[in-house]
Amino acid sequence: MNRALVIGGTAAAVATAGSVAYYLYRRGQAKELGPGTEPAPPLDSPAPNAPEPGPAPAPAPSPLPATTEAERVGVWDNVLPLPTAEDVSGDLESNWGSTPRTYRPLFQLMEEASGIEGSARIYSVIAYGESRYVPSAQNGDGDTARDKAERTYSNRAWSTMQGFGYNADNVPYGPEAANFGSGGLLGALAPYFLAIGAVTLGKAGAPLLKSRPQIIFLPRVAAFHGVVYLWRLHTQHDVRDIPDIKVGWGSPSLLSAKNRGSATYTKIREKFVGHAREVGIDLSKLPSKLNVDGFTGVTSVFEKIVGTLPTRAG
Amino acid sequence: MQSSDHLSCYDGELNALADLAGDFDAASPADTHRWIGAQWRSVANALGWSRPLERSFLALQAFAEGGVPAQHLTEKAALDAFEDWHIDRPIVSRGLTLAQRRELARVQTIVIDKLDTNGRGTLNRWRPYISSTSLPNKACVDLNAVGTVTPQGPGGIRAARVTVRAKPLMAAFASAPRSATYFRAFRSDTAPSYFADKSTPENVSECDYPVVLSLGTFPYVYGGVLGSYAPGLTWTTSTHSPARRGMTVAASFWQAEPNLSQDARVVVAQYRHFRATTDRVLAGVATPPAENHRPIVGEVHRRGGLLHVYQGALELARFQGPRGVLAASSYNYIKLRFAAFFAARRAYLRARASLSPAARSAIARNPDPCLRATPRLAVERA
Repeated sequence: MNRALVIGGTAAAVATAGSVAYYLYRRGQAKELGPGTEPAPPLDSPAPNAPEPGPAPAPAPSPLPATTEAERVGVWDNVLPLPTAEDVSGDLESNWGSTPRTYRPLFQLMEEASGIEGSARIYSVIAYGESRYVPSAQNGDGDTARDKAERTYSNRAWSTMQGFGYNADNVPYGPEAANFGSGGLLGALAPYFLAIGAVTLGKAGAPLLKSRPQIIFLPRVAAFHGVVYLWRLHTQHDVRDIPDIKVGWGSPSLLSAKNRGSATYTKIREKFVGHAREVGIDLSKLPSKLNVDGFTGVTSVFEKIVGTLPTRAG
Repeated sequence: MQSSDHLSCYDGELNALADLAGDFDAASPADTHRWIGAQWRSVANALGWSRPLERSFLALQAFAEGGVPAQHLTEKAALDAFEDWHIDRPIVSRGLTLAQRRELARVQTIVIDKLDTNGRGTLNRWRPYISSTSLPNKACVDLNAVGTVTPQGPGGIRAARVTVRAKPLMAAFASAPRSATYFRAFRSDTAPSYFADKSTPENVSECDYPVVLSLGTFPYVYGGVLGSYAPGLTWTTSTHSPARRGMTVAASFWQAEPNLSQDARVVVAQYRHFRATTDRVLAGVATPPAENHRPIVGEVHRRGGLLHVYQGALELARFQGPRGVLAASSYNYIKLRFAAFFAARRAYLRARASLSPAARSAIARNPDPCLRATPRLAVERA
């Protein structure tokens, strides 16, 4: 009997390395989360111009019927290959630890395209914590407690966004994103993911607003979101050091005066530092606090990292 | 027999395998140089030192002022770039002190030297298999005999750069068994693996063990350790650099005389075993038709004989088989090293009229029956 680990169970099935690692990662995540350790939901939206939140969301709907991996992840057109060493100029060798070599140029491109010096390796630690570098990682497509929690959060996010004028007309896949949960290389709630850039460019200019939420699985698109989110985090919230970035990554409200220093705030910081140690990235060699004054702009970052907006083919 | 028939003499699939490494006109020094440069780039890209290599090659090109650099200069430039890159990698302590690691590096280096020299006589430098008692220091380090060295002692600069970062996974590379006194310089790669079936050596003891190193596929020198970590890259570089030595042997097979000095039956047997055992592990990996296939993110598939991960990291694509973990990145790397060996063999035989006397002499003393079956070579030997 072939004891090789093959996803699909048949000789003709396509083995997806992402699925293998993603499955194991999700199991790990489910074990990691126990009572009292659920991540705090984001209390604001990427478009925080109006303070009032939306109405309380309905209970998280049941997951969609089981799909194939191709249906879950999607087939996309206009997808650039991952960047290589030739596409960046920065150091790809020192202080990267066990960051997969495949992704180092992508993280370095995020730094160079954005002008936010010192950010490249931070994205690696974030990716390690969020997805273990599996671009098709997702929380929300199953029936575990974590999946249900993530769908609750994404529903809440969509509900909040609706309070800011987002609807099925300007976000045609908003309802689908609401039932998606979170995912991607750097981890993001699907509705907020689609709305990235809208604060700066307006709803008409936000590049992902009319895309299906599975675009989150494309590494370059996830990278674009990550860069803009990092910038927004620094301009809109009190980010005092590198671990604060990870706190705000999941819930910017934890950076407020009221919540800073809470048990959840501290736990997230410690976990992030631990992840850096596990990856082998020495945070003391990075700037103690990032300077985002040199941010090159949302449109510029999109053009340099994504290029042409991918469209779903299947 | 045509040179392509030569490879078919061993196995019908070797021509297709050789094509993965590209072809070249071995009668042309410029084309030979181009092809060897491509092999260096293939190795460097896979292992992560492509930038140091390109800098080294640029400097060499400037020195050559537009001409074709001598082969030995190209090799030195590449090896210097590799060693400089390797020195800066995190150290794997394996619980040894700095002095002990340095001694280990010395023993590893002189053992590889001996395997290289021996191999020229036995016509097998690709994957030598020899008792440690025949090797310098019995391929062993007496830990108690090695004094400690302070960071400010001899070799202080490099000692100061050493950071001891032991990871649990690195325990897989610790030579076993290990007494309180002796430390084997290499693993004894005799368990069933992707390179060979189990061999049962006799009278194995602490420093009397089979040394089996797949130098042709360096740094993947052990058939049971084909995960994301390459064992040869965990060897300490200090005053001695066993990693550079291993890379030197591996790269030598791209040149005429060393390639033709190797009994290819050893390489063929290892490749066939590798192919059969990995095919079983990779049975579920699709080989989609190019025209219709639309890959999805993270999908592992075969294309052109190699594994690919769409928008994902090859090094994270790992398969568990009965002979151990097989990473997609190591699979591709090893397959391309086999490909390069046979591509070189094919090209040099095709250009036999232009071979150096040393290369012709190598053919003459090679007992490889497929080599001997080549008609024109037989006439030349007559």
